[in-house]
Amino acid sequence: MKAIKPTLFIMIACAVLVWIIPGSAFCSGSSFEDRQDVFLEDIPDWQARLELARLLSYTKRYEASVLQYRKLLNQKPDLAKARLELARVLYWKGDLDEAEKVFSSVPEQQLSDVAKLEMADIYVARKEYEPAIEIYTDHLSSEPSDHSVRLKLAQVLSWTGDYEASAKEFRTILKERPDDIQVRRKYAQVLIWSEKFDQAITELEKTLAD
Amino acid sequence: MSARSRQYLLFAGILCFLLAAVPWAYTRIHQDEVLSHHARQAFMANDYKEAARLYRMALEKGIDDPATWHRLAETYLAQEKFNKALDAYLKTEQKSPDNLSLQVKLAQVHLLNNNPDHALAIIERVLEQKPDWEIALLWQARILSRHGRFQEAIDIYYRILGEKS
Repeated sequence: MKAIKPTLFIMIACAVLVWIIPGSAFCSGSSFEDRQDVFLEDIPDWQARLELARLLSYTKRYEASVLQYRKLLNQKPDLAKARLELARVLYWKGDLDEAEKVFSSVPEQQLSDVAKLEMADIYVARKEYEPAIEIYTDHLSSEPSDHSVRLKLAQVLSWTGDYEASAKEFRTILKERPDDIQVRRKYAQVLIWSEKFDQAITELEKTLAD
Repeated sequence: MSARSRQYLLFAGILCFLLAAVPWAYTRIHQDEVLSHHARQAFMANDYKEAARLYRMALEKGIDDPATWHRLAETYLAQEKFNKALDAYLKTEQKSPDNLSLQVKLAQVHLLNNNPDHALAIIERVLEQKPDWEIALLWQARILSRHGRFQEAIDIYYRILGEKS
């Protein structure tokens, strides 16, 4: 009997715990309703400024957009995406030197593929073809079916006077897209520049319905 | 065997029984809370599908509080199942109708669900009650942007940042 009493006590205590613990450990119905912050995360100022800068750039208010990006980068200098977007806005604004400077300030490992291609476009606009060719070639090694980039590469190669390499890229595109008249005409232009007039005529004829 | 030994043996036996029975009884009696707890663990481990399944089971077992509906909605959001998330948030709203944060969240989900008109209406109702609430203002700006009402959105962003446009 002496042993049963404490055992009964332990059993009752355990039963009570089984009922009580969840109430404190899991249930939070009433406190949940009182909390306003449970659904929403705080949005920091820099996030609002980033969104404002983007919106200003979409509405072509580039000066104001650049100002906001600069303020943002003063606050968060390591925000690579803001730096890239600033470079893009500067590019749209026509401030190529500044755009290149900002692009170059982003560590290469933080440059996305898209950003690298934009960087290449800036090089092209500045008539710095070699680094652009390098970026396009590098991109095509991993994305060989990206014909828009291959077309850019083909054109840039032709502007450097490397007509053979350019024609090769055009032929790669035309193999996949034989009905693309505009690409074929650009290819014909390169053939003319390389004085392959007969081939150029053949290609131009293909682009004319009659 | 002496009487004292028998007592000790009995005591030890009952203790062993309790050690096994208490966790078993706990999980049986409070199956809904246990499921909810496991669901939260699955959510933390980024296993959103499993978390949603467990939350649904917990709701079926009897938990019917806004927190669980809210967490179920979060798992759907994480899986980008915006329709289901919206349904779960509407359930949460039924149980917690005066929560303004929940209203803002509902507006976000309506926006994700490609219903910016509804989202804007909700945010405007919230701002009638709390006109200077920055989070609501920011969501208003985002929704207005989606509407193509850029200038209004820009003005709101400047207001949030305390600057002149």
